[in-house]
Amino acid sequence: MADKSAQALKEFLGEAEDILESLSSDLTELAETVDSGETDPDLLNSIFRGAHSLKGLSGMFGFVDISDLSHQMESVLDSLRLGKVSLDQALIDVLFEALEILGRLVHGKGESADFTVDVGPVVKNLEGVLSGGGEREGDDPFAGLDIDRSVLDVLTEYEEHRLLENLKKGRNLFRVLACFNLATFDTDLGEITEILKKDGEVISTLPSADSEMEDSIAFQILVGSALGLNEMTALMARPGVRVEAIGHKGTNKPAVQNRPTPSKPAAKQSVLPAEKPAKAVDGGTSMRSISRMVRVDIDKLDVLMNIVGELVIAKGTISELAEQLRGEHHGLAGDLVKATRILERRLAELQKGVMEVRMVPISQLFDKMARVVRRMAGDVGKKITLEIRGAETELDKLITEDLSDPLLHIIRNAIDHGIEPPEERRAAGKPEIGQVGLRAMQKGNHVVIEIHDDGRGIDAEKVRKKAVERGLIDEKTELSQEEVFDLIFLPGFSTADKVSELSGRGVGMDVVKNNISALSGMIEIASRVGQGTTMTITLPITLAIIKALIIRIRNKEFAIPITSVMETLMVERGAVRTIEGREVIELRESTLPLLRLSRVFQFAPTENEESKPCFVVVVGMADKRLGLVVDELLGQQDVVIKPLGNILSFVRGFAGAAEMGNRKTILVLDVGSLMSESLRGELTVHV
Amino acid sequence: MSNKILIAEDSPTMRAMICATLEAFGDFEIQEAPNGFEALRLLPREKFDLVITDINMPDINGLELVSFIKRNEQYKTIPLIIVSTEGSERDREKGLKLGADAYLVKPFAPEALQALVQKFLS
Repeated sequence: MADKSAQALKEFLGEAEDILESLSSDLTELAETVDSGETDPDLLNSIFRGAHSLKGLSGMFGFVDISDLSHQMESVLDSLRLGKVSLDQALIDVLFEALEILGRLVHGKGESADFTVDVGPVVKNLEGVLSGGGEREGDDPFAGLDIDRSVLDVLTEYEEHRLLENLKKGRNLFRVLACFNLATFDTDLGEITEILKKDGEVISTLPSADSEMEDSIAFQILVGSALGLNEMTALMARPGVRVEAIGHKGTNKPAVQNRPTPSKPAAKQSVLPAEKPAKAVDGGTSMRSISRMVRVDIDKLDVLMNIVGELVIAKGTISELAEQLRGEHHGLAGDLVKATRILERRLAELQKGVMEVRMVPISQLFDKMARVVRRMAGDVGKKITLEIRGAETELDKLITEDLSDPLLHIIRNAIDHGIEPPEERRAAGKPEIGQVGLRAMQKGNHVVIEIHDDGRGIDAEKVRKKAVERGLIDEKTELSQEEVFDLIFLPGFSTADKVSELSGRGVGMDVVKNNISALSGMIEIASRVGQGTTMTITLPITLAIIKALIIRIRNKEFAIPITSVMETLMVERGAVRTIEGREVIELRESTLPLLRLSRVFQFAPTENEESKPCFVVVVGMADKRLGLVVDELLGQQDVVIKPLGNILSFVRGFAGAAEMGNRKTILVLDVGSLMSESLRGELTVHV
Repeated sequence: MSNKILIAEDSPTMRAMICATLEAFGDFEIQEAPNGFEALRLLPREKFDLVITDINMPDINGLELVSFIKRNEQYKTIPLIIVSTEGSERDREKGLKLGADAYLVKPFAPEALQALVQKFLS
């Protein structure tokens, strides 16, 4: 299709990978049957369908290579399932070869849509298999069969072939007529099909238009089996199900009595149960449920999470009403409160369940990074080993996705500029092979990710000079080393070509920081010249629903994610001191810097503001603490954070908007960015 | 009122693309069935104005679905488009014999699908 969006391409890649995975396991299973010659038609058909789907899909995306190869593979498999060619080891080898190339193509397209591999040779090999095959007989092979044309008309070519195969084997044909309720027909039909498959083959399932009852649907199942009519009828003895034998024209007797060698089916019957139990052990059915995993679009989970969020909010409203009724001593208030509590517990379980579904091990991300490190190290001629720890740490899938770019950026910088070339490392007395470390760990409701390299480190003095040159700080400004490193995150700190002198940090680091802030996270740098650099990213485990502390400043309410709140205090004005122009209080023998949100938001000061005690919300991330001065604490509440959207994305200091139970929408403070910006200097935000 | 379309197709990507193609040029109410069973279940629930079906599906194949729809008093007037891959000409012929109103060969151009849909829904 002409307009194939990136999203559509992603879906294609996902589905293609699934298909290839199934193909691979199905082919392996098929290969095991080469010697016995007993090929399971369902298995073969499943492989055919895999190649068929891949052909159709890749065609829509204009991937001629994948489409050509899967087309040729499909042709071979079609001939195989129609009995035109026979299965041997050479054929299996060619199929595996084709599969391997398809795998390379699909993975390649993931990196770049232009990626291709010459499929010519393997297509030729597949063609070679086909050239030996003979053609089908031309006559209508069903002419002699007393079978309803309406049944034959809906058989696909493959199903016709299966029908013939069953006849060749001397099996009897039956028509099983069944009528089911529309609501449950698939399970009912599934049950019958399972039973039939144990003693024969289901050739087709035709839904029938002439169902007499409303809300019900009739089916005509065409079955080939070694069983006789009586046995089949006994097998299918249940209400609403009828069995008819299909005989040859001119006789009223079912084919079961027209068989040339009556003794054979008996022998077959004893063989059948022996070959089937073996299958029952490994899954019981031939449906392709090898994996117990379901691939789900993250958007669907988002929708689900949103609904859970709305439910949580609705529950909040109900609890409020219940409490209100109790206050008015309403008769049913007690019961309502109880019922609401039960709802609350179940809702919490639901929320936890949905949340867990969204969690993925961070190894998904780390593995990607490992590939980048391998590739890049070769490209820049450096020797690097990557050490990964804590890959099993779990994180919300969306956060993992959004973390990919910033992480990639940091790692590229580490390899490109952090790690020295081997000769330089030797000269500095370091091991020739550079180390890059990726470490993840969970700390409470946060996940901490460290990216470490043992390269040349960042020279704080050079960073400082650069910042002065760029007019970002005054020459006389006194900064701690930590504050100097923070300069790197300022927009306009550096341009790519100049930065390499400063060991390369700074290339778009403001973008990295913004990306991480958008996830309500925080990034810090620690570095020592000659020893290396460590970047530490602290992120919340999930973003979707959070508990928040609702606060008031003047007449406006705001939410602060509870995960960042360490404690709340009431502070007398006298306890507030000013150090270096910054308000602080003493808190358990350490100094806590304060940030007056009313000033940040540029609200006009009130008359007696300086004399009244104030409320302080102590927020913390990583090992930093900050006291937010607010007018009032309004309590905790579950909120669903929604992004502010593109138009407002430039506004700093807010993580998003949250909907409250009373349908009011309030802004959620972005603690990470408030902290880092306030620790750097004055900050104002317009509300 | 927007037209109601039922899509029976087992590949989620293909389904999404058909939907996107349709949504790009008109306001349709689209119901998606990932297999023949689901299509059978959805049919009586709505008054569909058009059905688009794949042939190769697990459980009930597209031909069986065509036969069901075109032999059923209630549904037989619903226009039906078969979407199938090249190479299944024989199956496609059967589909047309069973009463399908048109077919499209994958991969198809969005315009081709749009033209067909317009033809049946005008």
